[in-house]
Amino acid sequence: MTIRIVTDSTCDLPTAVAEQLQITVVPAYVNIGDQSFLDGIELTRAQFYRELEGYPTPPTTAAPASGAFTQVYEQLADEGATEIISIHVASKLSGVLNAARLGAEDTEVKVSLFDSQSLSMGLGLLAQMAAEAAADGRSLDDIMALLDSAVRRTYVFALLDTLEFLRRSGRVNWAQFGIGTLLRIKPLVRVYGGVLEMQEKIRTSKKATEKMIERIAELGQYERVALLHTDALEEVEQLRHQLAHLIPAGSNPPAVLVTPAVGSHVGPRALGFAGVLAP
Amino acid sequence: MTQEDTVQEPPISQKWLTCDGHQLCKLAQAGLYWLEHNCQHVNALNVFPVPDGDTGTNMLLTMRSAYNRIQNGDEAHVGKVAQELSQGALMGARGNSGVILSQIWRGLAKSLKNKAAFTTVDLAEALQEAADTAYKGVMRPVEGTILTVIREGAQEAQDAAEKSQDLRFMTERVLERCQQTLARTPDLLPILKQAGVVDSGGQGLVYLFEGMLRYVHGQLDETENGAVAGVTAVPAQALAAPEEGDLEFPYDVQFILMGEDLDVLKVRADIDAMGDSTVIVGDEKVIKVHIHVKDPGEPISYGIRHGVISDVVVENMQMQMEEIIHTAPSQAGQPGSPTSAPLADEGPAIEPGQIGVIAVTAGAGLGRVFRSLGAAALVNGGQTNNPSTEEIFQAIQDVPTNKIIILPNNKNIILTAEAARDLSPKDVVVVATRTAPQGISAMLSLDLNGDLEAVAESMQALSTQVVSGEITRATRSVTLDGVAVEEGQYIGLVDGRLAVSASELDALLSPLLEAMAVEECEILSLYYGEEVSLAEAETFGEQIEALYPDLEIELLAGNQPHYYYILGAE
Repeated sequence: MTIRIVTDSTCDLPTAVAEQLQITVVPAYVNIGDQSFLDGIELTRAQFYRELEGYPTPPTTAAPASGAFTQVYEQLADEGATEIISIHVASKLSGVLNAARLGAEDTEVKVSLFDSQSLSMGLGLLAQMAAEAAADGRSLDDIMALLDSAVRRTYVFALLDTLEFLRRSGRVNWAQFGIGTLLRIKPLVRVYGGVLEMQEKIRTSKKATEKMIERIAELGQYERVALLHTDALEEVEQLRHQLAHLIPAGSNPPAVLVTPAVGSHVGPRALGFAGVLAP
Repeated sequence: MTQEDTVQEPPISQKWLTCDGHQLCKLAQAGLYWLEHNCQHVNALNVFPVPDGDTGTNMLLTMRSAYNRIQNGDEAHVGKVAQELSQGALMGARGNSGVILSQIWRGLAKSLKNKAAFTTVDLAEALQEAADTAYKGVMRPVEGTILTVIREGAQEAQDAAEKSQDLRFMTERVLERCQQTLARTPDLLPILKQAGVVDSGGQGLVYLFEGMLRYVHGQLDETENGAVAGVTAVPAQALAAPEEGDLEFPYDVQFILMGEDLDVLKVRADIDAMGDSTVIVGDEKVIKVHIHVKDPGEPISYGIRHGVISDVVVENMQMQMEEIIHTAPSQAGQPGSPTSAPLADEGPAIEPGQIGVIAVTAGAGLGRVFRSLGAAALVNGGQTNNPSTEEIFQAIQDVPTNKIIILPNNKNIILTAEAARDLSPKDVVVVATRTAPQGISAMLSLDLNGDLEAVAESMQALSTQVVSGEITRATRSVTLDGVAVEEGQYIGLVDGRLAVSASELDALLSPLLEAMAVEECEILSLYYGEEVSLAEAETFGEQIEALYPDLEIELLAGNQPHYYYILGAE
């Protein structure tokens, strides 16, 4: 029995981690003007943030084609996979899971779909847990139960520097945020249970970081965490320092530069945190 | 309590032992008339050298709303008339003094509820109840205000009731005591002494009582310029405010009827049948007619048939109301401020079960900011333009949810908002913001789907994390909070308190920013008013930047009247 894990590029897993755990990452698309790029492959993270503010039109994103999933599933089956767990960005925020479902319907390969109800490293940490369990020889049912439990403990926070990108994304009921673009406001958003929610609207950077740490800390102890940023390396290292007491001993989570497909909706200079609470 | 005692029309019979509904109606009408006549005098008693809420106008509109409820009635039961007056005052209350006045009527009505007519003992009790209710109407009662005036007036009534059963005696004593108390208000409230004025709300109440007593004495026609013996003198300084004479009203008809052997009672009855808000006073030679009618021709024709008319005034009341609401008397010569701020379409459509925020704002730009932050509705109002309880109440009723938070954004509107809250069956919380930046700061913690109490609490907490600055011009010379200002000088307020003054705007800026302690802040929001151009505002912003290079400056059109700039520092 060989179980393989498939996810999509919005998972933000560092390439080395994905390769080591044999996680297959299907790239989403990032569209800039009339050009379309495979997320993280044809358009690297560094390049994207370097050029982001110069793009004539704001970038948009698209789910991978269902055919890309079919292809990946069949290739993994050819490599000897008997079971595939395909785990993806929250279906309430993206069409990726639906593309995967359509892709799975077009093949004989047995695919178990899983909605991470999260994104970025929230999804990444779940995929990582699943891959580690598979490497340990756990059964499909075990791994699916593990995911079912972990997904309820997975939180992603992001402190945005600007609202523009999220507003344009159409991913949120903007009016319900009760927040316009008239004032300079740093929104602290949280993704949990597949829903992106406004947690705080903050005016100053100092208070914003304080609030974010407060919100992260009040949830409890984490078994896995990741730090995220969209081209704000200095700030994220500072955040790591401030969050030191919440980082599980022995783990040295990388400060992940968020992939273009997610960065397109978040905008530059955002700080983020993904964590799975201890059971 | 016989009919004979109560049917006499003014001057009320020598022995006035009971007062029925008809008489109370006439008393209220006379009080309203006299308050209206002296409205500008009350407005002139303005402590703050900034365009402030107009106490006279606010009390007048409150009292008019009260009287409108009974003007068409023919109710003999005094308890029922008082009830109507109370209801009308509650709905029309605007401004702090208006709210307190409505509480006075509420107390009176409560005490008189089951009385067909009242005696001196009843009135003394009712005045006591009125005073008690008025005190309960404010969070922190302050002596030296209308509260002290009504309380001491009520005490005097108790004393008078022990000495005589004559209501005339009692009203004379009460008025005299109220006038004495009013004269003492500067001794009780230092801010009044500093400003050299008596309390404006107390003065309004005295005019109200004075009008009633004048009616009792049949003297209501001796009203030229309000300069009648017994009227509390208004300091000359305070009279520097614009004086436009009698108020004039659309669909409102006033004239003086002159003739021989005129029958005041008959003229009153005839004219009264034509419309409402009737005030007919005078004698067999001269009668002053004031009435609101559908057809102005009717009362005028009537006057011509019975004598010679002069001083004819016919106006549209609606226009007059708008003028009161939208024109700043202290800014004469300025074009009227814009009417209600149009709703920016950026705001949310509130759904039932969510929290609807109602923000009181002056200026379309500020309104847009509130809407963009999730306010469900705006009520136009601010300095010189306090919205009524009814306007806020209406906004509460109109927002399609039962969970409401009101942001008054002005210290003079907090009580009105609370009165509107008390009237509404909805769950309403007033977050007592005193400035626009406080309200905007509070909006940041609005969670439309949150728990009402919890959200209100966090909004309250957040509202205090901003330092507010306001720049306007002094409407008169005064020394307040240790700051001396000359009329016409620029003044800067910090969190609503006078902090700095200067003859030039440029010279005001640096001390104001210092007083706001902006060096500890990251962001300064600069809302420029309707009298300031974008270019001027940009220059102003650059000056701030030069003083505080690390400060992030956010320039926004507030479009607010009177205030050149409103600043919020965080």
